[in-house]
Parts: sequence; C-alpha cells; structure tokens
Amino acid sequence: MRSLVAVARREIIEKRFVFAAAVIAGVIPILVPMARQLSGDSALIARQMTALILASAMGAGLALILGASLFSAELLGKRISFYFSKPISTWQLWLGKLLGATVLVVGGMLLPLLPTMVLDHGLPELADFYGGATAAVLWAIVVLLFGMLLANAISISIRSRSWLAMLDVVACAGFMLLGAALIVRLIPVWIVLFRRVRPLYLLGTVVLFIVGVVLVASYRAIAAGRTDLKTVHRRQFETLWAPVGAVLVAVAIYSVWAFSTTPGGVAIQSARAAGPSGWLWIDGVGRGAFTSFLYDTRSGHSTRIPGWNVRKMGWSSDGRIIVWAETFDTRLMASLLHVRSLLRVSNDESSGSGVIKLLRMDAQNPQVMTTNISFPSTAKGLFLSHDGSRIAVVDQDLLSVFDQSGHLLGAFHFSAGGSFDDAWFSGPGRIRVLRSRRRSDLPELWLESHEIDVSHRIITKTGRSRISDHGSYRRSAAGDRLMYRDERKGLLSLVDARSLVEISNFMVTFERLTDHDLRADGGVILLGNDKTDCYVQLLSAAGVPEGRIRLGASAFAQLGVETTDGAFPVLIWGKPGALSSLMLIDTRRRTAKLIANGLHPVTTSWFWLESEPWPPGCEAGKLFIDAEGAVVRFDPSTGDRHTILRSH
Amino acid sequence: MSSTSANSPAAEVERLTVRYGRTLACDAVSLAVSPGSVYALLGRNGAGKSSLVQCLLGARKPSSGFARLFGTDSWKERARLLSRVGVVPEEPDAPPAMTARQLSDFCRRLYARWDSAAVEARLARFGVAPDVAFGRLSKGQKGQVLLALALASSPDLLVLDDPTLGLDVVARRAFWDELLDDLSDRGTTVFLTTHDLASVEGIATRVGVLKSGRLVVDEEVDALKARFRRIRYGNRITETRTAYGTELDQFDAVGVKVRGWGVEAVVSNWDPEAFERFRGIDGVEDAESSGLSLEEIFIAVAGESPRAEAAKGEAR
Repeated sequence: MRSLVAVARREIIEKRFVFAAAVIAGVIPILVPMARQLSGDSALIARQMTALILASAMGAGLALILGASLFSAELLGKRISFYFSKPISTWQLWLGKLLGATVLVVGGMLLPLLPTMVLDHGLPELADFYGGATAAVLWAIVVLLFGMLLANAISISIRSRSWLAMLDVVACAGFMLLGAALIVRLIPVWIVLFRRVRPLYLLGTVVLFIVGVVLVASYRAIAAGRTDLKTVHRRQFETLWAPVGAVLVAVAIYSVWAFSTTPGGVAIQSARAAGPSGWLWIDGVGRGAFTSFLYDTRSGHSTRIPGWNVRKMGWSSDGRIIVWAETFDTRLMASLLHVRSLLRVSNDESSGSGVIKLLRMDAQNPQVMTTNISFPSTAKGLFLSHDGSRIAVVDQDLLSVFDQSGHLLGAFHFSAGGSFDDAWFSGPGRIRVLRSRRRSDLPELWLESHEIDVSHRIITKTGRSRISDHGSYRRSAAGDRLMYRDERKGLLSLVDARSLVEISNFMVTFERLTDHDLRADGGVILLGNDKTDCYVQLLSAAGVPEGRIRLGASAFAQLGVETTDGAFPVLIWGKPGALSSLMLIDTRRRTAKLIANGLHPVTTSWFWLESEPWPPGCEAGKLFIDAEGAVVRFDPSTGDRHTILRSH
Repeated sequence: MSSTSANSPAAEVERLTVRYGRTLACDAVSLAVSPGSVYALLGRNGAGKSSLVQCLLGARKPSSGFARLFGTDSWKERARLLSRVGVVPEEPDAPPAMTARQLSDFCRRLYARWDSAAVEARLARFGVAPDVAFGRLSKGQKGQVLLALALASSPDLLVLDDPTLGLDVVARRAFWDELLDDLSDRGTTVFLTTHDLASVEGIATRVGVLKSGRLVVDEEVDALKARFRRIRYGNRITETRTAYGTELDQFDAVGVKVRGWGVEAVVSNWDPEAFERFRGIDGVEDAESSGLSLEEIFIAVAGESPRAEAAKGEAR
C-alpha cells in the first residue's frame, strides 16, 4: 500500500503543473462576462457555461495527454525499469500511476469550476440543465478513465513501432464494422430485450465491458511485458482484442443460431392468414429474437420473411401463390418505422421502394423467388389474379400488370385528382378498379367503377355514384357486390360493383356497428352492440330484416369466415382479461351457440394488413390461435379440433 | 528477513534461455552466485549479459529456464525479492525531473530499511549536489547517485549491470572505491556485469564469460588464472616438424600465434609438470610461461567475433 501511494504521489508531484494550469483556466469564466459587459442572469449563464466548457475541455484534453504518457513514454525511454528494479509490485505500479493520473485529470477538470462556484455559490444555472449531477459526474469520470486508457493503449501501439500496430488498426476497424453489423442485424433481438431491460442499462453494460477490457488490457500488458515495450504491446493486443473478438464472435454465432429457429421454436405473437389455403404469416419470438415466417399449416413447410420489410402482401384466390413487396430499407430503418407505428406515432410504415417477391405454395419445396418487378415507395396496392399468373401493382394514378416473370402486360393511367380505393381481378384478364374523386368545383365525393381489359389495354368506366366523406365499403368474395357503409347517416347500402347502382339499403340500428359482411347467399350479416350486449342482425339481399340474435354481454365482436353451410363463427370479447368466446351463428336457422373459448380467427385484420373477402369454407377460416398462442385447426361446423403449432 | 535456506545461492539462473524473435540472447545459461561472493559476468556487447540481468531482476520473463533470487523465482516474486536487492542499471533510468534527494525520499517509502543519511554522505563523497535534477547530472554522477540509492537499503545482494559504462577514469575509480568500502564493511553479495575488467580483477571472486549467449567460463578467479597461462617458445624446424606440432594440445590452447621468433600460445589447461615435459620436446627451445590478467583471459576466450564463430560452426 505504501508503494502504491508513493507511486501515485510521485505521478501527481511530477505533473503538478496541471493543477496550476487548471486554476488559471478557472479565472477565464470570471473574465468572460466582464469582457462582454454582461450583467445579471446573462453574466451568470455566460460564466457558468464557460466554466463547464473549460472543465470539459480540460478533462478531455488531460485524459488524452496524460493517458498517452502513462506508461508508453517511460517504456520507450527505458525509464520504466527504475520502478521495476524497486520492491513495487506490478499492480501497485499500475494502479499507482493510474490513480495519480486520474487525480490529475479529475482535478484538472474540477478546478476550472471552483472560482465560478465560489462566486455564484454553486452552479445553479447548470443544475437546471443537468438534474442528475452525481450520475453525470460519475459517468464523466468513467468516460475520462476510458479516454485515458484508450490514449495509453494507442500510444503503446504507436510507440512500439511493430507490425502489430497495423494489426491493431485492422482489428479495431474490423471489430467496429462487425459490431455495427451485429447491432443492426440484432435489432429483432434488441426489440425483445428492451422489453425486459432498459436500453440505458444495456448500453451502460456495454460501456462498462469495454472500459473493463481496456482496463484489464492495460494492467496485463504491464504485468506481462514489464520493461519490454514490444512485449507490453503484444500482451495489450491479446488482452484487448481477444475478449472483444470473442464476445463479437459469440454474438455473431448467437445471431446465426437465433435466426435459424423454426416456427415450432417461437413464442407466437401473432398469426395472420396469408391466403385462403392455410398459409399463415407468423410473428414470434424464438431464441430471443423477433422473427417472421410464412408457414403452411398443412405441410408444416415454412420460410422466413423479413417481417419489418414487408409492406404489402397479396395472394391468389386459389391459394397457390403469395406475393409481397419487400422494401430495400435497412433493417434499422424498417424497424424504426415499425416501432413508430407500434407507438402510434404514425400509421405510415411506407418508406423506400422495394421489390416484389413470390412464393409458389403448391410447389413440392416452396422457394421464395425475387421477381424483377419493383414496388415504388408511393405504391398503395398489390394483388394477384385468381390463378396467380398476373400481378398488379397500384401506384398513385397508375395500375401496372405483370406476369410472373416480370414482363409488363399493361400500364393503365387514370386521370389525376382521384385515388385508388380498391382493385381486384374480376375475371380472367379483367380488373375492377374503384376510384374515389372529388370534382374541383364541387364538394361531393364520387366513387367510380372502372373495368380494365388487360389483353386489349382498354379502360372502361362502368359506374359512378356519389358517396359520403365518412364511408367505407366491403366487397363480396366473388367481387360482384359492394356493401357501402355511410357512417354519418348510419346507412348500409348493397351496391352492384360494376354499375355502382344501389340494390338495397337499410339503417343500422345498433349503437355501434362492430363488424359486417356479405353472405354467400347474397344477404348481409351485421354485428353490433348496445350499451351492454352484442347482437347479430341478418338481412336479406333486398334489405329485409331476417332476424336479430342476442349473443350476450360483450364489449366487442368480430366475424370469422362463413362456413360452407352458411354459418358464421363470431369472436366475442367480454370483460377485459377474460377468455374470448367463439360462437357459431346459423344464418338459416337463426340460432347462435357457443362452440369454443379462447380461440381467435387468423382471418381477422391485424395491424395494417387489410382484411380480405374470404371464400366461404376456406381453410383459412378454420385456423385459430388459442389462449396459449398455439395455432389450432378448428372446424366450426363439426367441432373437430387439433393443435398444429405450439407456441413456446 | 530471508525466507530461503542458507544454502540457497543469492542469485542463480538455470538453463536460462532468452529469445528476441529469432535472435537468441541467452542459450541455456546456468550459473549461481554464492552468498558473500562477487560474481563478475563478462562478455562482449550483445553477448546476453543485460538480458540475463533483466531476467534475474524479474523485469523480463525468460523464454525458458529459471532465474531465482535467494532461491525464489524472481519473475513471480519480484517485488518481495527486490526489497533485499540494490540495483544499478546499465542506463541511468531514474525520472529526470527528480533530484537525488527526492529520489532518496521516494525510495525511503519502498524499503523497510533505508539510510537517508548514508545517501547524503555518499553523495557528498562523490561531490554530487543532492538538489539538482537527475536529468541534469553527468553520466558519472548519475551512476554515483544510483549506487548511493542501491546501497542505502543495505541490500543482501547488489546487482550492477555494467555500471561504469561510459564513465571517465576518475568516476570509474570513485565508483569502484565506494563499492569496495561497502564490500569491506558488510560483505554484500555482488553480481555484476562489466567491461571494466581491470577494475573488477581485484574485486571479483568468481567470473563467468558469456559468448554469443552461451556461458563458456564459470569459475573462481584464482582457479581461472591458474588454468590460463601464456607459453612462448622458439620453434626449431626439423625433418619431422614443419611448423609446430600437436604438443600444445595437452594444454588446451585457446589461441596460438606463430611469430618470426617462434610460437606464442594462450592455454587454458596449464600444468607445471606437463610444462616441464613440454620443454624437453625436440624442436621446442627456450620455452617459458607467464600469468595472464583477467582481461587477457577474457580476450582469449571471448575475443573471436561471433561472425567468425558462426563461420566456424558452418564449416563444421
């Protein structure tokens, strides 16, 4: 201990001029307001800010200068042997010099503040800026210590004049690149981790690890190399880069392992139908990482997709092909957009342009194919023909149709001033387009129906109807009819999709309409609430009420996919925290019965993925998520149920 | 004070090897310094003396083998062992801004025993001002300050690594005189390396010679001087003798020069009886022998340049 104190004392005495310089620097903040002829609060702020800037500059400068001469100068000048020929243990020498230098740096940082503190009775203006002064000072000391050790390591590397110095540069650059790549690659892990650990704690741990490594490297270099600069540098190199490299390699191996998980190994967070044939888009957390898959519930085949980079997804109604637009955004940008959306800062997840990818689900071994079809950043829609042979992209006033190999079959321009509301293949080589537009001289909003003949490249306007600013519509699975809802008037209209001529209309009598759909028999099913209970209202195609069924107390309800025998599963949420109920509505007998608890249809819309009109009785309508998060196949008609994919 | 047994050498190296990359500085060197002895390790520049001293002081880790002080590994227990050792390095290494008095004050805190008055007295004898910064002293004065510091803790072992290198004659004399005084007072064990052979001849009790990293001599000084002698004789050419014969082989000649008047040889295995028989050999005339100084023995042993040695090795 005596030796340690002697070394530290020696270090301080030898460089005591630092304190003198700091005291002189402390006078500057007092002179600044005088020179600028400031008074009152302005003088106070100017004095204290100058003192803070000076203190920071002194601290940083001294950390680098003293760090650079901590050991390397004496090693190079062969004067370190003076200490090593005395009964001073290596750790006493190392710690003594480090302590001495730290006292000099911290003293050199704090002394410029002293005159100002005496004059102003503390630093009240700065205290307003920096609430946690103690934490700030502690972090400042950690940062200064790190700077000092880093300067020491760099100066040893440079002064050793060995080829290893080049490797230092290579290792530093390489590890920084690898680290940056891993930080970006592991964003799906950070998102999961940050739910459990505060990001600041993780950052603090990383900083402390790096400071720890540099600290240990500094000690081990001196302990193992002692008087020989080249050996000191060699040991520093090993101790500095080996743990950093080992950690980075371990993290890289972890990232490979984490991202090689299968749907069977994840805790499922959401499962959405990706087409009618039983494919799901599954998001989940496996091996600590957030991952996304396309998963075939029938074969068990899966393929990983970069969930955050997927902007739009479409599928052929025969269920054989899925396409999606994958943006070129960096994972960082895509995830930031995703987080922004989750935080409800903005619903707009669109960003850069992308490319369209395609998966043939009916292939023996489904593989993702990247088409040469680009997906502009302004594009709004992506849909497929019934057999999946045609791909349509909707972008502002342009609708483009491609075949699977990316050949442009037609580009259809619409007049400016309108917007695409919906578009779908209404038949072989024909596309139905709904556009809403407002005439510049009139306040009304009009919906226009167009039909595109892709082969002949002809656009024909087939219908036009005035609509409300507060309306929405849903099309039938066959695409021949629309159910238009005027939310302001509480009116529902059945409309012919081609001519936009109203077939029938009826008033919504619920306090709140929660869901509605077109039935295969041409009728309509409505779900709604009054103050306490949830009801089903059935209407014929002519708008004639066919019956009203009370489902019980419920806060919210959603419709599933119609079965082949005209029944609708209905998901009902009761009290918060309680299991949801799944009821089956028999539209022919006008009855309702409870068929399961805790099952959520995968066909309901999640986040930004639009709910599609599902063909009655399709496989997707029989897929549910149970209360444990497992994917379950449940036939609402028969009650047959088995678990397909468990959530871990 | 000492945790080692009385039989342990004060300093020893065992099969000590030091490498700098591909360069071999010490090649499996083994030697021991008995308590109370003065061991002079001699060698030409680059022979490996300083590397051996650094290993002995725990400042450098041997590539292989061991270096021990008082029977204990000096790399592992350096700090504890050095509390019993005074060191004067080859290059004055004290912080240049410190004065001799400040250095003494600094060292005082490191040793259990410290005689500041003795430091002052020695500095006075050397004529070194105690309040002048170390960096401003002459090289001789620096050496004297370091010797004063090395002796102030009354060490059991004094390690001097070529301490008079670059000093003028007067400074050298003053240095050795001070050392001799301490030796006569306390009987300190000394391990030193030097090129100043004339000065250590009267001090050293044992000598080691390093040649290209190998210890080629490790012997008591008296025995060494008895073994090494110079033989001069006239060499008469006869029908059976063309130059000189194999008669010198019995003396293990380490250097032979054929002069105009005859032959001069330095032998390393002198034997008076054998010399009498040698004198009777036909062709050997007026043979006489004389003793050698330590310097002459050193030149005979270590004189051949490493390059020549290497060339000889390659030829073999």
